[in-house]
Amino acid sequence: MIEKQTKAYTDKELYKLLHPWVKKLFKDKFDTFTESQRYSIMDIHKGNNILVSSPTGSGKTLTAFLSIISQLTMLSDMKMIEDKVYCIYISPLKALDNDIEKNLEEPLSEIEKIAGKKLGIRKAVRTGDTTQYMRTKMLKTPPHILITTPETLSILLCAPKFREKIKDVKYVIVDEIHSLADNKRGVHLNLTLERLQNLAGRFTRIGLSATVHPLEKVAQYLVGYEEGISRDCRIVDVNYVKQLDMKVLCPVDDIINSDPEEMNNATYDLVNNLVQSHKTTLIFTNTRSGTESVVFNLKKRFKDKYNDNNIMAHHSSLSKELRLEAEDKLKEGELKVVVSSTSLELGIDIGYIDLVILISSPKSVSRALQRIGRSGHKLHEKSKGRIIVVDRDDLVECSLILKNALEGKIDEINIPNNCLDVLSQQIYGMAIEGKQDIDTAYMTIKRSYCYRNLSENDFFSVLSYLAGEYTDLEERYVYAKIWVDYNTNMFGKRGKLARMLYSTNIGTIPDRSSARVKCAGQVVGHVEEDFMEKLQKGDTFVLGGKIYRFNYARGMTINVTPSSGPPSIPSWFSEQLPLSFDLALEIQRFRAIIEGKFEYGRTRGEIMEFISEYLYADYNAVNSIYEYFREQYLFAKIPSNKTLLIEHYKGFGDRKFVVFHTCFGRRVNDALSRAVAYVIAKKYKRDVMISISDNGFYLSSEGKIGGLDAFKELNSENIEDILIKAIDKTETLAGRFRHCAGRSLMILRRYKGKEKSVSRQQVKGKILLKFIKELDDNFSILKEARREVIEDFMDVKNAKRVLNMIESGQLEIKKIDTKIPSPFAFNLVSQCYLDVLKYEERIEFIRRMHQAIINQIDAK
Amino acid sequence: MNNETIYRAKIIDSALQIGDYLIIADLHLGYEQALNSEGIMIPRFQYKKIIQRLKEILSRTDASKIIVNGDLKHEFGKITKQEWKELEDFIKFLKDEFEEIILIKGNHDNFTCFIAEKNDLEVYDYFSVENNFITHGDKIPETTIKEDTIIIGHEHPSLGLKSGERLEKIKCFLKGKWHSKNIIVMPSFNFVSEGSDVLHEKSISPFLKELSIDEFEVYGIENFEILYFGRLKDIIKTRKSI
Repeated sequence: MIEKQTKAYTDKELYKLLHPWVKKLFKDKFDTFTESQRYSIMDIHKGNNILVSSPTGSGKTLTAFLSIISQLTMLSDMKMIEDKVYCIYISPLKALDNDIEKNLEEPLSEIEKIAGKKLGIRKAVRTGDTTQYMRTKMLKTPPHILITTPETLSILLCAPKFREKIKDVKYVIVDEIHSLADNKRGVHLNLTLERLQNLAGRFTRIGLSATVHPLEKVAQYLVGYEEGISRDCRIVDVNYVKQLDMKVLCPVDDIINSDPEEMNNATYDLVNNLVQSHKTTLIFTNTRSGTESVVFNLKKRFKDKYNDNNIMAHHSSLSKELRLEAEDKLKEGELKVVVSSTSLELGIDIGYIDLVILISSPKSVSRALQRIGRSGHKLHEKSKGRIIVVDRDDLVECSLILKNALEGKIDEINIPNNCLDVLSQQIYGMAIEGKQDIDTAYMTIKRSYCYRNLSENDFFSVLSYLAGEYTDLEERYVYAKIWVDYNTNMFGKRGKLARMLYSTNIGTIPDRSSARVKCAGQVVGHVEEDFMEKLQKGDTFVLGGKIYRFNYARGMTINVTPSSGPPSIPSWFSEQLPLSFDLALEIQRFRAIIEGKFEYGRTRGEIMEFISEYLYADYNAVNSIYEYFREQYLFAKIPSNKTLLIEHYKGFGDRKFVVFHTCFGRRVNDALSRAVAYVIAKKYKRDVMISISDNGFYLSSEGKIGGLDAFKELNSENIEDILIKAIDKTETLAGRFRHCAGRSLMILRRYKGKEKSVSRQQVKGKILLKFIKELDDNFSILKEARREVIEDFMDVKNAKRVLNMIESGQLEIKKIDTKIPSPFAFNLVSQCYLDVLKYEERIEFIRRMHQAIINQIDAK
Repeated sequence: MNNETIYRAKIIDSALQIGDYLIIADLHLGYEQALNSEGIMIPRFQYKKIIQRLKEILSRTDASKIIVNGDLKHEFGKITKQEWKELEDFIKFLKDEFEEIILIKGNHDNFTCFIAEKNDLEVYDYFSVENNFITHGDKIPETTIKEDTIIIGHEHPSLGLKSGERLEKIKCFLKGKWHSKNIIVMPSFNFVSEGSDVLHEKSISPFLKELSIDEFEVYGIENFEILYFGRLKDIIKTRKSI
C-alpha cells in the first residue's frame, strides 16, 4: 500500500534509534532534526520503503543516510561489518555523486574521532569515469556505501565478480528521482532495480525528490509491483511552498502597447537592478541561445558592472571545462551572476545563491519551483525567485504559475511506459547475467512499474528481435544477441563479446553532435546535425543573430556566406520547452472566469480587483491582463475550458487561416494539428501549412480546407491511428527511430574497439529505417519509435482527453470569422509556419515537386 | 525535347545504353557487411534488389554487353564467405545474361581483381565505346582522351526535393561540360541509399572539382521514370519560391 507518513517523531524517539557515537555527532552538529528527518528516519530504520519530497537544503543527505550510517557504525563497533556493499546510492549526475561522497566524508571521520578508533566504514564513487585501478581496488575491498549512476549499476549487475559484492545490499537510495522518472533513463533504472532485487532479494528503497505530483505515482515507480499490486511505500511530503518568496515582474506598465525596443531596455534595466541588490544571482532562460544573449547583453549594456570575471554562462553545449569553471567560481563566491538554461536545475552544489531570476515562463509549476529552489540553500531560509515576463501571453502564463506554486498545485509527472528499446537492452543484460527462464524473466520485468502492463506480445517481439529472427537463418550469427530456445523455454547471451558490447553501449541518452559552420574560413558557430541535414543550396538561416546562406556540407562542416532578408529555414522551434498540460488547463479555467465577469457586466474596478487577488499580481500585471482580455472579449470571444474557439481569418492575398484556440500546450497541439492536417490532406489533396504554439495552432492554405469539418472527424477513438499515419514520413520519426535503434543496440555506438561518429549513425539510421519499414511494419523498434513520438514527444493521451471533453459536451466549439486576427490569435498568426503537410506517396511527391520546379524555371 | 538520352547515351532507369553496351556503376555489393562491421546491424537485402532491377532493365533493352563502371564491391580488407559467394553469383548472373563483361576499376575495387582473374575477366582503368570515354571518376586517367564524351560514376549523385519538413532524394544523372568535352555523371546502382544530394554536398571527383557543377543539367530517375529538372543553378533559384 502507498500511504502518507503523517507521524513526526520526537528527538527522544529518534535519538533512541541511533548508535551513541552517531547520536553524539548529530547533537554536536545540529540543534535538532529537520522536519523531513522527523518523518523519515524511523521508517528507514525499520526498513520500510519511503519516498521523501522536500526542498533542497533540508538536510536530505542526512535524512537518507543517518540511519544507515548508524547501522554501519553499530556493525563496525561490534566487528561484524563485512566486505560487501550495504547501501547503493544512485543519482543522475556524476557531479552529484562526487558531492555526496564529499558530504559523507565529514560525518564518517567525525564518528571515528568520537569513537576514538578507526571504524573503517568505506564509501566510493563508481561511474564511467572510474579508473581500472580503482575498480580493481573496489573489488578487493568493496565500499560499504556505493555511490553510482543508473547506467553503471546495470553494468555492475553483469560483472560476475562485483555482482557478488552487491548481492546482500540492504538499502538503495535514488536521489533526484523526479528528474529520472519522467524519461527513459528512469525507465531503464526502474528495470535495473528489479534485476538487482532478483539478485539481492528485498532491500529498502529510499527515494529523494523535489516537489513533484502526484507523489503516489512516483512512489509506485520507486517500489515497483509484486503480483500485479504495488509494493508498500510511505510518502513524506514536507511542504515546500511556505518557504517561497516568489513574484512575477512586468518590466513596463503597459505590456500591450510597448514596442520591443522599449521592452528590451526595461527588461535589462530590471535584471541589472535585481542583480545589483543581491549578492549572487542565478538567471534561468529557456534556451541555450537565450542564455548566450543575456550574458552578451548584460556585458554590453553595463560595461562597468559585468565582465568575464563576474558573469558566466552555463549550459549543456558548453565544454565540460567551462561548466566546471563556472561551478567552481560559484562555489568560491567569485561570480556575481551565472546564466543557465536547464543545466543548473539539478541539485549539484553551487554554493550560495540569494536570488533566482527566470526570464520568461518556465512552462510548468514544478520547473519554476525546481529553479527557484536553487536559491537560499540554507535551512530555514526562503527561496527567492523573480519571474520576468516578456509578452502578454507570457504574463498570463507566469501569473498562473505563481498562483499555482503558492497554492501548491503542481503539474502531473508523465512516466513513460512499455519502452521496447530500453527493454531490449535490459533483456540483453539479463541474458548476460546468466541463462534465464522465459516466464520468470517476464515476471521480473512486469514487477517494474514502467512495465507492469507489458503485453506478452511485445515481450516476445523483443525476444525475437534480440534472437535475430529478422534475418536469414544462416546469417543469424552476425545479428543475434541472444539465443532463445522455445522448447526448453530458456534464453541466454550469444557471443564472446556480449559483456563488453553491453557495457560499452548501454544507456538511454542519445548522442548528439553538431556541425561547424564556416564562413570565409572562419568558424562562426555550430548547428545541430538534424538541422544541418536539412540544409540545401540557397537556404538561408539565422545563427548568432546573423543571417547566412548555405553553400555546401563536407563531413561535419558546413560552408556559408553572409546573406540578408528573412531566413528561409525557421530555427526557433527546436529547443523550446513545452507548456505543461495542467498549467494550460489552469490558464483556460482563469479565462473562463474572466469571460464570465465580462458577461455579467462587472466593472473594470471589480474585475481588476479580482485578478489581483486571484493571481497575487501587482498593478502593472493586473492592468495588462485586464486590457488584453477585454480586447479579446470585445473583439470576439474568450476561448476557455468551456469554449473551444475556432477562428477563420483571411490574411494577405486571400490566404486562409483556421486558428484553433486550443490552449493545451504544444505537445497536445502538435498531436491535434497533425491529425487534422492529415484528414484534410487526404480529402483535398492540397498543401496545408501548419504552425503550433502552446496556446493553439493554425492551418493555412490558399483555398478552402474545411478545417473545422476535418477537426470534427477526429475523436478519442481514432486519433491515435490517424496520428501514427500522419507522422510516418516525418524527420521527427526518423530521428527518434535512430535513437531507439541505438538503445535497442541495433546501432552500436562502440563496436570492436571503434567509436562511431554520430553523423555516420544518422545517415545509416535512415537506411535502417527504410529497411525495417519494408521488412515488418510492426517491428518492435519501429513500434517504440512511433510510441515515443506520439506519447513522449507529443502528448496523444491528453489530446484524447481534449477530444473526450468535446464528445461529452463539456467543451463547446464556437466558430468566428475575422478580417484581422483576434488579440489571442495575434502571437500565433505572426509566427511563421512550421511545416507544410501533404500526405502523398513518394512518387506523387516527386512528380509534384518536379512540376513545381519546372514551372518556376519556366516562369523566369 | 528528348529527355531519354544524354548526348548519345540512352537512359534506362539508373543505367545507360550506348550501342550494344549497357553501363551501370557503383553497385557496392556487400555494403551491408561493411555497415555490420561498424556496428549497424542491418541484414543483407540489396543483392536481391540489384538482380531484380537488372532483370527489369534487361527486359527493356537489346544490349548484349555490360560495362560495370567501378565499385562493384564495397570495401576491402577482410571478406566473408557470404560475400565471396554473392560476388561469384553476381558474375555468374552477368555471364548468363551478357556476351561480354567489362569491369572498370573503382576506388573500392582492390578486391574485384581477384574475382575477375578467377573468371578470366580483365579490369580496365577506362574503356572506349563509340567516342565515349568510360571511367570510374575517382581519378583522371593518365592518357589523352580522344573521345568527345566522358562518362563517370563515383559521385552517387542524387537530387534532394524538399517541401516543409519532408525531404526525398532521387537518383539523378548529371549532364555537363568538362573543358571542351561532354561529361555525364551516372547515379549509383545501389539500393542502400539514393546517393548524395547535389544541393547539399560538394562533389568529390577530380573531374568535377575545378568546375562549377551549377551549370550541369539534372535528369532525375525514379523507377524507370525520367524527370528532367534543367540546370542545377536554376533549381537553386527556384528553391526560395517553392
